[in-house]
Amino acid sequence: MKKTILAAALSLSLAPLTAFAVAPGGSSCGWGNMLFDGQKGLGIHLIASLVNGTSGNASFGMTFGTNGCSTDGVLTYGGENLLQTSEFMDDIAHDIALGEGEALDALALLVGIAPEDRATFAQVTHENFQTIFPSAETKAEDVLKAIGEVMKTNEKLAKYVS
Amino acid sequence: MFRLPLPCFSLFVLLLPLVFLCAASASDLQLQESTLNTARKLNLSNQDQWLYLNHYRNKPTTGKQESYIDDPEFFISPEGKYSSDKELSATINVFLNPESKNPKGEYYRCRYQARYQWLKQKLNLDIPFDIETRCALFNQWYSAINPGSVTLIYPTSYINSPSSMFGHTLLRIDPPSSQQQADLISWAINFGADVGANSEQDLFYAYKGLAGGYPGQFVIMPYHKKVKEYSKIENRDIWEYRLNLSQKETEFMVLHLWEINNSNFDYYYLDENCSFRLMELLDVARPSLHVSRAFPIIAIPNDTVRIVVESKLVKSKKYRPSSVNAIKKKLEQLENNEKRLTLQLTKDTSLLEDDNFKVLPADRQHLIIEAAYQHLRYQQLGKDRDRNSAQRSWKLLSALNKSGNDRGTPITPKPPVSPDLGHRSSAFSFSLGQVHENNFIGLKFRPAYHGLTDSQKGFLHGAEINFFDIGVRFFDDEKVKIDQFDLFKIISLSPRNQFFPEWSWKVSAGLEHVAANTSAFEREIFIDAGGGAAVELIDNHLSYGLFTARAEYNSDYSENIDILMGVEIGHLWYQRVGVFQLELRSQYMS
Repeated sequence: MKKTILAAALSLSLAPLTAFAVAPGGSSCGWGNMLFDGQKGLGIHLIASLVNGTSGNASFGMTFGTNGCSTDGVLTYGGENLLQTSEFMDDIAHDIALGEGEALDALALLVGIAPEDRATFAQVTHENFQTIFPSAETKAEDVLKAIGEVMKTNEKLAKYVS
Repeated sequence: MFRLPLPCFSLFVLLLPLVFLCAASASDLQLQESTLNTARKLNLSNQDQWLYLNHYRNKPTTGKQESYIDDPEFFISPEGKYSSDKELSATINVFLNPESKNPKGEYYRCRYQARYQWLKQKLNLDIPFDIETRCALFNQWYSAINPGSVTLIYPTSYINSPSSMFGHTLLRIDPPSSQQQADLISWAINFGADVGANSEQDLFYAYKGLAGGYPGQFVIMPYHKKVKEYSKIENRDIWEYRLNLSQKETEFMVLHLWEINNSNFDYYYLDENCSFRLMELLDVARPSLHVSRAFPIIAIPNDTVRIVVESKLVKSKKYRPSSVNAIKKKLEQLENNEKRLTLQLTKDTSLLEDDNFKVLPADRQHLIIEAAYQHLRYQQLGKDRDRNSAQRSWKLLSALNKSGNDRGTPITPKPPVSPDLGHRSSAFSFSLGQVHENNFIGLKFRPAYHGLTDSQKGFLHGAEINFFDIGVRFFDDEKVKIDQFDLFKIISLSPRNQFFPEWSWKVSAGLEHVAANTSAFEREIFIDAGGGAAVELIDNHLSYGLFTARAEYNSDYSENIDILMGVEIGHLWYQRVGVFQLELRSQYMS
């Protein structure tokens, strides 16, 4: 069941909105990003930053898309575009390790956790760090899947996962 | 533009229903006339809101009206760029014919919603058009942006990065206060030059940026991308100024952003830059601000931030330290032996099992692991993924996770003075002296930006950025001489230690008076560069040493151009009352 309506609507690229236009983990998608990915490809060059430049595909004007990435499957909870969490997955890992932090709050918001359940979300993820991040090579899509599994085991959080 | 009744009458016999349409078009004409008349009477085309919405100004060179927007697709009237009057009339006409679309196939009513909202209020327009169903693209965009309030984001400069020296500003749109906030996923609005994909091959980058060779556009992206770019990769502190624009004002600004979506503005590094464009956006939200008018010549980001503060727009400030500064603050809390352990831990995580480590109190262990993790991540910035380093990072996080509950209260370090409280960009200074028994009073003017011995509040230690510094001497014998003109002078003295092995450097070029044996007032053109290192062994004491190379030109010199090599050592002492500098230079002509 695809609860990805909003995500699909945000995709303003010309990629066809078929179920798996690009498989999760495809080269242009963040799903395959591993923890502690290098940051070389961001292309912030000395002189480009002088004019605070952008070069092409960083973001197209003021519309945004998912670069043709599939946002299906993984997003069986929450309606927001969770693809972007792959971009700050390191921060999420750090915050879950500690049990608090800005990235964790952002994740909770994206997943749609209500304010009264936030503390539980933080605690449950914190206690299950090893399950969510079993190794340094954990991929973004696996992280989100694992978070979903862990949430199902808690009576307060299970309702967010379908 | 006008729907003439004539074709309708000729079809009248065949198509009776058209009579009603034709009758409607006759009164449409009346409505058009009366609306345009009202607009003229109210002088709407010269009102601030209209001028700001279309980015008009009177060009200083010609005095003629012209819009900053360099994109014909933005204007409805073909003469819109040069006439606010014609653009207003054209706008009214398309609004009165709501089915009309622009050449790209968009409904004007979907695109120009800020204009419509304002004109509706001024002219009592009431033209039904269902935006909910007709403007799908806009609706998706607008609901995702979810405007509530605006925050001005100011990544300050990083000492070792010349390209960041003047700082940068962008905006972040935050959701309404009634909703939950998570800054990282709010949308950031950034104005910058579109340097194109082949930027690396472009040798004239910097020149083009200065001279307006690039088109500028607004782009949008999640704020976490900007945090990664500035705070981590570029090691820049970020100051966030939450503004008191109301939700309505914020919504209006966002409606305007949709109007200028994909529109090209000329980008000029000095005056029509990121910061200036943001001033314009603020004026659109609240025309009474007139903040963009405060920058007729140059817009230095720091000054634009200061104006925003002075205009009483700021609700609160938040400091977001760069990676480097966050790590430095953590390290300050550690003893020397703990610092050593931190460094060792970044290289070898098996130390976690070491007795030396385990014997430490739990909260000290936690601090050390946290510092080690952050430093390890910092080392990886700008590099490809390294398996080994990733493994160590993961081990440290796992350890952090296990020790999580024994943390003690984390200390939040006091943020530094915010940049808006720092000194202003221009400075006058004067001196008294004597050259060959000829007394003088010297006057210097430095238009921008910050010197080594200026007040350090709100600025970086050890950084100097000067442009067009000019000095004049008034001599006893009534002669007036320019004794100094610095085209630019940039100094970066970055304290070096085991965690941050940074180099220091300086570069300058200009015209300078030469101390000579003759009484003639000699000057030379020079270019000067130096490299070396600086250390801060004691707090507030910065010592530095540089190797320098210099080329001088004076037509009177025997070989016209002289090359000199030398050494420079110096010391800066930072005190509350000011900064004291001692410098020794030695140069040898080759």
